[in-house]
Amino acid sequence: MEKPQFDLQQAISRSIQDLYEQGTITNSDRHELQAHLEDSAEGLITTGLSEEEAFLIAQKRLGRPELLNEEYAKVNHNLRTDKTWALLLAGFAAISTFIALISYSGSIYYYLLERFGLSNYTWPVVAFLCLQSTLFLFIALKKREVSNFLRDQVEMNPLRSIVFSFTLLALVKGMQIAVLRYLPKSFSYPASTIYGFQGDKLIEFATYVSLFCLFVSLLSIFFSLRSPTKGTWRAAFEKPSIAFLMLFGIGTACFAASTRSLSGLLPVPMHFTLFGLVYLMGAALISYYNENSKLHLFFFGIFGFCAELGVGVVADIDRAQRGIGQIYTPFFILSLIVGLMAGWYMGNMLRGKDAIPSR
Amino acid sequence: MKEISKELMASSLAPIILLILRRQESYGYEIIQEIERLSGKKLAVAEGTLYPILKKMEAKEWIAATWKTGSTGKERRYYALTQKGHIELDSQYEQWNFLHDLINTLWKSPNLTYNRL
Repeated sequence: MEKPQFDLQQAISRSIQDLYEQGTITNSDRHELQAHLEDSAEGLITTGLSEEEAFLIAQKRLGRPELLNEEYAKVNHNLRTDKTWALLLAGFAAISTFIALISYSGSIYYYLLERFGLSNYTWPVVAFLCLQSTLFLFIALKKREVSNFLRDQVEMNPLRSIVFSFTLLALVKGMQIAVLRYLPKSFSYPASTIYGFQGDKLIEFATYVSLFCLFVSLLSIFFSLRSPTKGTWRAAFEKPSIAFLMLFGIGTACFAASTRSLSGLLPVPMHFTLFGLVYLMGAALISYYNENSKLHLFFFGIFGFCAELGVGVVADIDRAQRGIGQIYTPFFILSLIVGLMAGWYMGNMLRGKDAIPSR
Repeated sequence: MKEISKELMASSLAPIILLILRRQESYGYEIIQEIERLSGKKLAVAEGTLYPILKKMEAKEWIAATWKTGSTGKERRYYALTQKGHIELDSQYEQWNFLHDLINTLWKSPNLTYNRL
């Protein structure tokens, strides 16, 4: 197999970026070190070395990352403190803005669906929601770039970042007050949050998918912002704690349960298959990063199993009492177990093949 | 290549840098090249550690830094000696000379007792 072409510029940027992500150097230091590595590599190339050799020597001459971090930490000792207070304030404003935005945009969304009959335009609405989900997932994939941009802004001008985030909060809050004043009471917060989707099932499911993607995206940025090197799939899923597996299991159970909104639209076997597929993806992710994942999968699936058993049996009894007589619980539980087993198999098959990006 | 202890190197780098910048303003990579050239490639500096030293000196206002575009079109951080830096250099030069003389005297006369120095 042919060796991939070595990209000097990319290698230099990657090397300096790794150093920058340790949080001890400023943006200005980063540019300075990058220019230094470029000069050093160019100098070595003129002596007849290949780009890759020149890069390796230049990097070695620059010094070990631990040593550089140690030395820079001595002179940039106020960097972390500055970031912390600015990030705390900007973070507070961002979370408040997000809550206000979700609250009133949710109200408007439900109002449009109900009063203006958007449910009659299922496919355009679903297409829009899918596009929105894709955008959220794209942001999750680009979390390093997003979090680095945010860090840069706070680092370069903490005051400007805080003023900007609080101005945004004031604008969104203002919009929220104005919107809620004109909306009928039944659509205002918190009533809107328990809106039952009287209309279209597909729109309902697409909304859940979109909210799930938004949650994943925000979580990725949050962890990436705290420590970009830790905000990776590998860091999250490799040797996970029991608490993390249980939380991931609860999230997966909620998402898997949301596929129930498609009941009536799809044939019943398809409904169970979708439910199992969600577990398959989660289990594959865990097994991909952990060689002995059987115990991990137990903690991951236990909440869903208990919830299905508890809630499902109650629902089955209720249906039986109402004379509908359909029993679904064994099928959902079977789908869950098959999903876990198939995910375990898939994860083990894919391991070592770089099938899931480590970032 | 001369092996110089970390501690000695750390204390002597500041006057060396100040002396190089006394000639003309310069940037990190060029300073390292200059040290290598003047020492006949006998003195190796851990390149990355030069920048924290430059930052310390900048914080003490011995040098001032500005981003400038060089003749190759590449942006670099240029350092120049300040008035305070000139005074510091004079003082450090005097201290180094004093220590140099003392070490030399002791080296050349190993049998002298301290009160006859």
